[in-house]
Amino acid sequence: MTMTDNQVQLTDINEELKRLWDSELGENKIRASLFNLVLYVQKTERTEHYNTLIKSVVSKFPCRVILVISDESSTQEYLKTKVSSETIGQGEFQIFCELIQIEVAGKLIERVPFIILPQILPDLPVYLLWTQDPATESTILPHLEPLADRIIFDSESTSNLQAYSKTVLSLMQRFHCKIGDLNWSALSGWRKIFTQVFDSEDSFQSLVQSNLMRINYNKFGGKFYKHTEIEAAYLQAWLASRLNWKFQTFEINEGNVRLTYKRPTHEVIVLLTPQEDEGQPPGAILSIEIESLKDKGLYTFKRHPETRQVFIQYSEKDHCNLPYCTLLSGISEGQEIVEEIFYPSGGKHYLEMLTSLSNTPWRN
Amino acid sequence: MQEHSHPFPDITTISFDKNKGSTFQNPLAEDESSSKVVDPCIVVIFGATGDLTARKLFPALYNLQREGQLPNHFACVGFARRQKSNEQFRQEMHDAINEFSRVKPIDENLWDTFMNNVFYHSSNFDDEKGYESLKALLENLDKQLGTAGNRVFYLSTQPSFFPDIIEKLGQHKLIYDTNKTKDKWSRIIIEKPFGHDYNSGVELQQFVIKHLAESQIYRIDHYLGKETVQNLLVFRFANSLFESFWNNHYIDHVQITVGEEIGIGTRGAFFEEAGILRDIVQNHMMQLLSLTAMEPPSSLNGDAIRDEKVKVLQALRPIDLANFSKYIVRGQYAPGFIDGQSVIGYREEGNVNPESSIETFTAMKLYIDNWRWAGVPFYLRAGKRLPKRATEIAVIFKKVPGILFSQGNQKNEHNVLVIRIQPDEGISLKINCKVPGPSSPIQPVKMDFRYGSYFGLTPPEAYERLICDCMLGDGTLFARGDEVLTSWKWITPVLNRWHESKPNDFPNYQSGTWGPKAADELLAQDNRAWRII
Repeated sequence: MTMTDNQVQLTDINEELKRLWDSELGENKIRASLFNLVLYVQKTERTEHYNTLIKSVVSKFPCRVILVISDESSTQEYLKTKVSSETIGQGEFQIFCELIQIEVAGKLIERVPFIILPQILPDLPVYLLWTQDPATESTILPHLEPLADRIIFDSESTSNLQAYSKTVLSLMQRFHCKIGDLNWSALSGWRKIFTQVFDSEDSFQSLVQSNLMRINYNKFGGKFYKHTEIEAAYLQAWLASRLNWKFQTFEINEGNVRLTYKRPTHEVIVLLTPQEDEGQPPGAILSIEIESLKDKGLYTFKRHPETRQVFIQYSEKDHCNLPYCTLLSGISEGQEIVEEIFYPSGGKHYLEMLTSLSNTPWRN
Repeated sequence: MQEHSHPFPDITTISFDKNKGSTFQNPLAEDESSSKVVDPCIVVIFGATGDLTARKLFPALYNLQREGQLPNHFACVGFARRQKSNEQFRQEMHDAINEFSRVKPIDENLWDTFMNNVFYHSSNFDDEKGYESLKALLENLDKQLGTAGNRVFYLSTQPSFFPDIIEKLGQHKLIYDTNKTKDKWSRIIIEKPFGHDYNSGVELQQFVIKHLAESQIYRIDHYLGKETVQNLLVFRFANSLFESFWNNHYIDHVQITVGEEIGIGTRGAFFEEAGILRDIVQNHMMQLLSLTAMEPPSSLNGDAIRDEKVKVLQALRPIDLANFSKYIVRGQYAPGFIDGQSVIGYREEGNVNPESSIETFTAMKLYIDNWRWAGVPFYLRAGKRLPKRATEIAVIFKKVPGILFSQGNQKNEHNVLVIRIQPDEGISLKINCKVPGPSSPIQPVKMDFRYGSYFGLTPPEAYERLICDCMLGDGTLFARGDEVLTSWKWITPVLNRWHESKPNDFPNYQSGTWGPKAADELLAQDNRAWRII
């Protein structure tokens, strides 16, 4: 990455980007952007995590990145602007991408929408990654929303999943643009596996008649994650919504969550259990067991500790199928945002999953 | 607490018809095409020791597995004449993937799992017992691996074996009658060429439909699996800008080139039977032509698209045999230079007749006699040992009336839209611009979109997409019977004419050049020239 050492004036951003482009101009370089990616980030230790996300996107797709880091806790008032470039690709053709970083504090935060607006490349989609809890009052988001083709939320930012779900559901009604969610994207591999495993009438009936589900997830959050239970919470809520489970109770005890749901014929118990595994991604689902009333069936899904494979086994009271394994797709770090941008998943299933969560008094 | 309200009926009220099998609507599946679920199945590859299996089919299956697109219950059985064990075959396929996969090196963990579902079955293609034991093996795998009786038979053999294999598969009930069997499916992928002329194509088609329904037949043309070929539909029908100019009012002519710098290599025996017309033009180029010229389909449904493609082929004006040389030329490469290295001529290649009259190059002028394309010539050229590998479609627009910018040395050129299929996939548009300064000279410039630059991901190989589509039962990217036969119908009179009159100037172009002089004259007679690629 090439970055100017000094800050640049807002008015000089384009001039400075041009200077960077000219200085890097080679015969086979192309200045290209597929879209605008705007990130609105609070200045915290998690800011670094978003830099990893940016790199992940830029390394795959050229885009103009506008990173806004706001510091609401600062007693000072400042506005600092930097520009940098990233050259991606090797060999014959290289792509020159532009990054604009805006650090802002104090009352100047109010000006963010006005600062961003002239920096957006026209005629290209605008994806806004909003990393604050949307349930928290924001004066900025309503101004940015009309610019965005899609707003992607990060539920890691919330301490109240129920309030988060209700807010996002309400924003889905109010906002003209589509809404995405990084954790929902991160779950896409598991959703695909469930769809495949239960893709016959017979196996699906086993799932319909399940009465106990144990989900073990990685509580190791590393530097950047505090709410590692979210993927597991999303998975069970998705199943609850697909299978029409009616929420009954919620208990939490030292991180162990016990939910009960009602079915017309029986009760379903869901247990979310944290386990520490530094070798696995934060919040990753490590294993799932599903007990079914149908033939006393038991499904076991176990994620391989080192690879992307998931071992799957089904057994009944009087027989046991051979285990097999399949791949968990789309889970590399930073991949969630690429998935959200190009394969948006915030459709009916997401909406109904949120509806299910919004009925659960979930507190972290 | 607010009660959770569901927009869906309770799952217990959804009735499942036990007889419907694959019509089960999985409530866990989302609507998007990306989440289509492939049924459990076994892929049986006939000709499993051949080049195509090693270079394309197994790397494709491995990459499908790597990307989680194969079903959880899956197996692949290699069927070929040579004796070998499962272990030997697995090792050979492991090495092939390591050499030819688009993603290297092989992921050993993944392979360890994948190889357990790979088997080898040795038999002659006409041996009854071989099919009996194949049936037993497949049924056994169904029980062990839960592959549910679903089958894809991939015929990657010489075309002469197709009838035998299809007949034997039918006799041993390995092909299911679609009217009677609803809970499982069997499909056949047939490699090109589908026949060697119109009559043999009809004969093969009549034979095949005795054993299979059209919906079970997947005639593969790997060009259709290429991302850039599929993008042709998107480019044309998702952009109002171009579609409004896509007709004889604005387009002067179209040039389609499929050039290769390689010679025929080890395919001498095959090429002596085929020639470039059968090998490239009848299938790949006709697909490119029909996708370029077709009308918008009524939907993206496979049959709707193929209906429109067939209409283009039906509208092709038959070659004027009285003025044959004004419409089509042929060539054969002589020794020459490729990448600065000297290369031998066609007649010196292995398994080639030293007096061969087989064409390694052809160029032609076609007309599509319909409302949209009346009077617009389509120039096609395909050849081996050309200066570079390039497949592209160039749409040359008519010039503006020469009133304003036609003085002096003005370069007021045609606008040219180029769709590059391979390599360096992309789209470019040549436009005329004013050179800065007090006078107003005009300079053509190029706006260039490079697929690889914008979408940096390694695109899937054509075979990955096509095998996956076949497992999904989606025939959109496969050629339909009438499509193939209509193409043969146009090509066959040319083949016959060439067969009757042997060329007396072969070899007539040096390797490393753009074909014989006659190819240039073909356009020069119309005051046009081939684009320099």
